[in-house]
Amino acid sequence: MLVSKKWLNQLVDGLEDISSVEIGRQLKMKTVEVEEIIEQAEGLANIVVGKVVSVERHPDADTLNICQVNVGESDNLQIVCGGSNVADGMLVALGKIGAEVYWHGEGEPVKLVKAKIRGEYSYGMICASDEIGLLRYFPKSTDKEIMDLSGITAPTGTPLAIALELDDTIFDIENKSLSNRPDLFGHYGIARELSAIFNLPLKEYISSELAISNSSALASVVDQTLCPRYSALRIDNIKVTDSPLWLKNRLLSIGLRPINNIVDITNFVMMELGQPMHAFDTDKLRGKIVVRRARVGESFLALDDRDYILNDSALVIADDSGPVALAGIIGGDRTKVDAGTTSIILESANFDAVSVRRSSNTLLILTDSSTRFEKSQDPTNTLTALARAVELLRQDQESIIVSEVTDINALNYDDLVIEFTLDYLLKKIGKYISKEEVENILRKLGFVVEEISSTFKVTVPSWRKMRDISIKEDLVEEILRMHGYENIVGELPTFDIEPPIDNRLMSLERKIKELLALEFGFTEVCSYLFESEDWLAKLGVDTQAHIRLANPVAKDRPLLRRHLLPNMLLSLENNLHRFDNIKFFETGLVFHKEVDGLLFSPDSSSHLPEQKKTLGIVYTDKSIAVPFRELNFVISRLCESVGARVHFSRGESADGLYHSGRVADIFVGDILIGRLGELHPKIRYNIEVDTPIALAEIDLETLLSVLDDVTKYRPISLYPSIVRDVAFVVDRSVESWEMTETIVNFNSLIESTELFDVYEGEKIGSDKKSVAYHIVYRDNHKTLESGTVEEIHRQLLGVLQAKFSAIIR
Amino acid sequence: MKKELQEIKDKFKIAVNEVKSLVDLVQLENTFFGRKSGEFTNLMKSMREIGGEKKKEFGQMINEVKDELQSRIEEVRSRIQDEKIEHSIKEETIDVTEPKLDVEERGHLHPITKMQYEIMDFFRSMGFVTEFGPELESEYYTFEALNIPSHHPARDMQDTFFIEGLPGAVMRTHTSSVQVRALEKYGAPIRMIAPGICFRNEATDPRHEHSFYQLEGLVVNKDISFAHLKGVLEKFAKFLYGEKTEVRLRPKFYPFVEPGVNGEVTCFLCVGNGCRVCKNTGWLEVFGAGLVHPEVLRAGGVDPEIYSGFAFGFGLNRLVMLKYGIEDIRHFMSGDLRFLKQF
Repeated sequence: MLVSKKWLNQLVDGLEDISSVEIGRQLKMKTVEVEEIIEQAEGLANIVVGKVVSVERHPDADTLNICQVNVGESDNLQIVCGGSNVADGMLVALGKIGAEVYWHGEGEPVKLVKAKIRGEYSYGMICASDEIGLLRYFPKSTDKEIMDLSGITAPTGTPLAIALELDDTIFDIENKSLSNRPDLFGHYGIARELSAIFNLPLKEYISSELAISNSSALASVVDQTLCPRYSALRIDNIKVTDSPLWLKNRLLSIGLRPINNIVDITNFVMMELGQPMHAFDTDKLRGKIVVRRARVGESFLALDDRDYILNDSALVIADDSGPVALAGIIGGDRTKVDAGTTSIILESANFDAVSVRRSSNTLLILTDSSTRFEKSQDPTNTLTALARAVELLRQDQESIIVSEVTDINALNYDDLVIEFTLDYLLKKIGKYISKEEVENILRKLGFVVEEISSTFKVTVPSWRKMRDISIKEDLVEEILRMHGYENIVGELPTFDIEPPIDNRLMSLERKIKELLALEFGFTEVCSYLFESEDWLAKLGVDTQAHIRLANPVAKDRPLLRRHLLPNMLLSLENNLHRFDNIKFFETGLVFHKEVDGLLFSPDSSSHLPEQKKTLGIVYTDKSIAVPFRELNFVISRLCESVGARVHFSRGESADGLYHSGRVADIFVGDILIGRLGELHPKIRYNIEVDTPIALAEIDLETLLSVLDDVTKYRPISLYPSIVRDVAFVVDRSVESWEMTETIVNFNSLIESTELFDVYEGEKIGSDKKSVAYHIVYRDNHKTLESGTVEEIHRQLLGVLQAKFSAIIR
Repeated sequence: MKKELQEIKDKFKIAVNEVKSLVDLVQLENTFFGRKSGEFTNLMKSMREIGGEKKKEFGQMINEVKDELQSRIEEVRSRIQDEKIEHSIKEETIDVTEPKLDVEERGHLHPITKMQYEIMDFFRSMGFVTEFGPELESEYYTFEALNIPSHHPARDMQDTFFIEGLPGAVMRTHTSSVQVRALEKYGAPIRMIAPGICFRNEATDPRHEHSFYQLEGLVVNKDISFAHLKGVLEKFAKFLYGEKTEVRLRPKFYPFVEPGVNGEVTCFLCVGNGCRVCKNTGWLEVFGAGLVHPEVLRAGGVDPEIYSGFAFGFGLNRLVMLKYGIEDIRHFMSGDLRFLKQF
């Protein structure tokens, strides 16, 4: 919203003495977001009123003239001018050397210099309105038209900004920062804030009130829920003319286009008070006005020249022939005020905010009126606005005949009184604010304050109680912001020194992230939670069980992830043409609608879908043929570091994502915590990746539940160990863990064993493998004799032969 | 005898000057002091044949010469040793600026994670618990419990993702949704932060992203005041940007706080003088905050007549972007290793 400083000056006594910068700063600190302070005159430096004293055709160019222009100095300026309407004696906007202009009204401003145009000197420029940003004030009818200042009384040489009274300051206030302050959608509301901020008197808004009749002479209201108040009056013997210059200037200064005296006054009052109004041509109305819901399929030609088909959720102002306005949003073409109008009905109503907002959203019409009504306007303003409009019309047309006001009002205006104590205020703010200051702040803002022994009884003014202020906390804000947030000294709260409850899942997640990144060289990636159907199809992932967004931002990513891996694979694939080695991990929630999660609310029996914290890892290295093994190592080490000893067993091949020969379930004891494998070669083919990719996913909540301290201390043995190596050939299908278990558990004198070599190759047959183990023998009570070891070792070989058909090498 | 001793001495002097290496030195030692036939050894052996006073006198003399020669040998040995080390140091001198070749790439935490953990540690040091809360959340916890009824215009500001076939559920639009869940879980008093991902249904561009990270804070106790809110935000701002950082609070409307403020900190780059980062204002908008609305406390089962509190929140993406001068918010979720490698 644009706010004019000159306009505000007329509403607050003494405001003209306060600088715009200070007003902007204080509004920003205490009331609203001021985005920009625009000095109208800023772009008009070095542009003055000039009078053309002679016009001669340029000897060398048909479309150019050489003009002598008087700018109030003894010497005239010679200007080469291409304006089609330049004439002897004309008053023009003259840009002197140093003025900034927009060539053809476009681009960045350019500084004028002395120029030679086709051999003739030009000491400035006679400006067109768009060249100096005044197109709104001086519309052009042809492209080459220069600004015609006839009617200006200022002497030549007067700065243009002063001659045109364009010396206002405009505050650009962010509408969003007003969303809870309907009263600030007009200059009077802002003026009230400023009167409180600077402790200056606010002027009375209207001088006299209008006569009211509660009859329904001019209108009737069918739906009083959507139209709680409808006030209107009829004005006869009225002439439609151009508005006076001051009114035009006010509207232009805040970006509104003047239309005629009647429309301009309704707009002026709206911009001053925040109360939208509408004028109907009485003679074009058929029968009496009715405020009702639209009939389904009813059509309506609006002032924006568009036809709207309505449904019964929209509220309309109608006459006997149908809608004449969309309530609170836009007027209709059929009853609009035009040059021939002599009688009007002036509407000043209050409409339900939610209904206006819905209609405005549904029909995609956003107007100054709808913007205001959807914030809930003060219903007492309907009468104030009418009084103000009549007052303004009478200024120029004393002969108008004004009817009584028809006022149909379904609202009652019970006082809203809020009580609080000084002690409460002190506790909430953390600083003592004096009784006098509290009262002064509230009174300046329009509250009625009664104070009895440090208890305040505060009556909320009509313009603040629509939605803004209802509880004592709201008053704390009023007092605090006016006192100034910068005047509160920060302090730290006092608490018992209880340690915070440990979020164990979070600690585990963090430890895992730090280990993976800092110890194992993996990089954390953050993926969208939303998956694309195309991508999942390429991965062969079924999407039946996925949760779907009802309104995905991108149509191609409607699914909520059930696993971390698909989008991680997408990131991996995107990087693969740049990197030979990619090690990604991610932790995050995965979503399963078939399992119940937390409750929707304490009173609800419905559950949200399950949301599980999961770890995903993807890994590929162009120089590594079996990334499975690398990841197997990483997972074993990682889990050991956080307190879990994992083992792997051949996984189900049912999950199509994995290579059926390279997939393992990850267990801690007999609890399944995740899965490790390589991407199925068919999927690799689908996504055009040559190198094998290892993947793993671990359920962190399950892992957390099985954590233990896996450190086991054994006293350092006083006796030496004896190491024997054994190598043997077995079928490839014999699993390593089984052989290891067999060896370790064979005899209590076997302290440990380690697989140190695996060989597969033609020499031993294609379905065989050769494995080699170190076996460490130790007796913790005495020095082992080699004879004892030989005997146990011999028996062990026998068992390996029998159990695994091992051929000892 | 005396003469022989002198001869050996002279001979030694010549020989010792010709010693070039440790091998030479061993040979020299052998020639003179070899156990079997060293010249000096032999001389000592021949001393057995001498008797009486003369033996004593000669013995003394011979020992002096022996000490002299042997210390000379040690002297030469240590010189040669030093030369040798000196030489090897020259040989072993390397280009200390040359890096190790073929190193394993190091890993990287996501920049949001790093920022989040630093902030979590800071608040943990002040006794705050960390909560996460669901990311697919009910409208109740996202809106209603936070005093945002369905017709409230604040819901217009939140472009919300809804779930097909699951009315009343949304992708949470802010981490404020954790406030009431935490109040239900812990009651009052409470100090809590809730970091996490949030979602807004809007088209992405360099400044907008539909998935982004926030961090919420909530403090509830008896007699919590606005001054406390300001005090904690000031501490946090100083933690982020240094001791000289100041906090400025301005009115801002959020339905779940009253009063509500928008918190700015002095720009860390220009220290409040105005620069490109702060768009010449000297201030960076960082927080939303306020005193917890009594309706929110009530929704969490906390009596607003006994307890009061404050809440604050901020975007982690923005903090990271400011810290490193990141120009495009879409980098965070891009999975682009060229971006991730830099942190």
